[in-house]
Amino acid sequence: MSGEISKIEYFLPKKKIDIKKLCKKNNWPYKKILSATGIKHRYESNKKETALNLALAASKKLKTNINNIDALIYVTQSPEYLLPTTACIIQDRLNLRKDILAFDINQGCSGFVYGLFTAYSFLKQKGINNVLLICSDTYTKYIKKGDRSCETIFSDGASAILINKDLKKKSYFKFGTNGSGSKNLIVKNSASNFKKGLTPELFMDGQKIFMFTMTNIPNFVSKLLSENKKNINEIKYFIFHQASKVVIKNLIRKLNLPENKVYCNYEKIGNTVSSSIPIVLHELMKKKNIKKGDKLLLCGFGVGYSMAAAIIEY
Amino acid sequence: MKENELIQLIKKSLKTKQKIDINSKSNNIEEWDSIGHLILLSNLDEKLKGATSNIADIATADSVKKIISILKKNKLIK
Repeated sequence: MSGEISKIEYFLPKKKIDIKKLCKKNNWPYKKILSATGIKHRYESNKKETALNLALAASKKLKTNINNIDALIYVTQSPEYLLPTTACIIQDRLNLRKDILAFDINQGCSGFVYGLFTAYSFLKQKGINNVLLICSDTYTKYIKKGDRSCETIFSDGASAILINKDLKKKSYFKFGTNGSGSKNLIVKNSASNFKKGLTPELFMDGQKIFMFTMTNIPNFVSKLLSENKKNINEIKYFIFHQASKVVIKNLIRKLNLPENKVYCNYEKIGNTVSSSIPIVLHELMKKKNIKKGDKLLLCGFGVGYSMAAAIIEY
Repeated sequence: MKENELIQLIKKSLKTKQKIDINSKSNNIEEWDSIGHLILLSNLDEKLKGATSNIADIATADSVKKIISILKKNKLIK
């Protein structure tokens, strides 16, 4: 593979939800919920704010020369329309060149790694030197008021990642899919299954999603390491999708990872779906916790079920 | 793991003051909700050193009897 992440920016909506207050309002047990989710705050878009708006805001923060961008990949499960692909709208709104390729990837929690793999694959081609990868989701728009499982976890947010060609950098990817779990995290009454009079509604079976994660992800990560002859000591940071405290705590235990190798920010941001990994990466870059050449293991998992992991060289 | 150890683990996971016994079910223990069950699944897997991760049925086992039955089937309880 042949890329280097050169810059990451992200954007969160202004509306910040205090989970403690939310629990008090709904008479939910805050301490118990916090012990499982670890999430104290999350962000919610307003009625006029779509994933596209968040994506544009994150992209503008990159302050990059847009004329250098050769490809645009937009990862979202909150498209502006069923058609056209939102990437075409972004190309126009950001005034990107017209001779670029641009398309959407419909993936959630594993979406960033999918986007990265696709970007790195494109960068092997002649004429593609810089890829703009954008992840953006507004799951909160699909949440029914009073749905405790979803309202205490999901956050809206976008991230924009600039990836440049670098033929020297090595990376290793691994993917997994099990559609038998598709009904356990789903927006009902949507797209071709939309029924008049009903609104699209997010449904999550938290226990089944948790079991899927525990059954599959530790082994999946171990295989990525062993298949590429890498070990835990060689990895500077393990960056997991910021699902919740109980999920990450159990991954650390089952993989026997040193806690200081796992960076988390779910407590203050919540679960931003496709942007959760790039937002963690942004924080690590900003704090200068990672330096050029460090190996990072990224792993996204969830809705689908879908799993995607990568070992990349920063 | 013994049955009484399991019952103690369930009580500790759910942080309930109610009595937990062989007849306890999620619908008669107030604290046995979706989050309580999630914490129970996590603690049970830790106690059994990862052995419950591959038992999908445990995700929906909503009573002490069902949990015991699943663990017995998988030879994880005496």
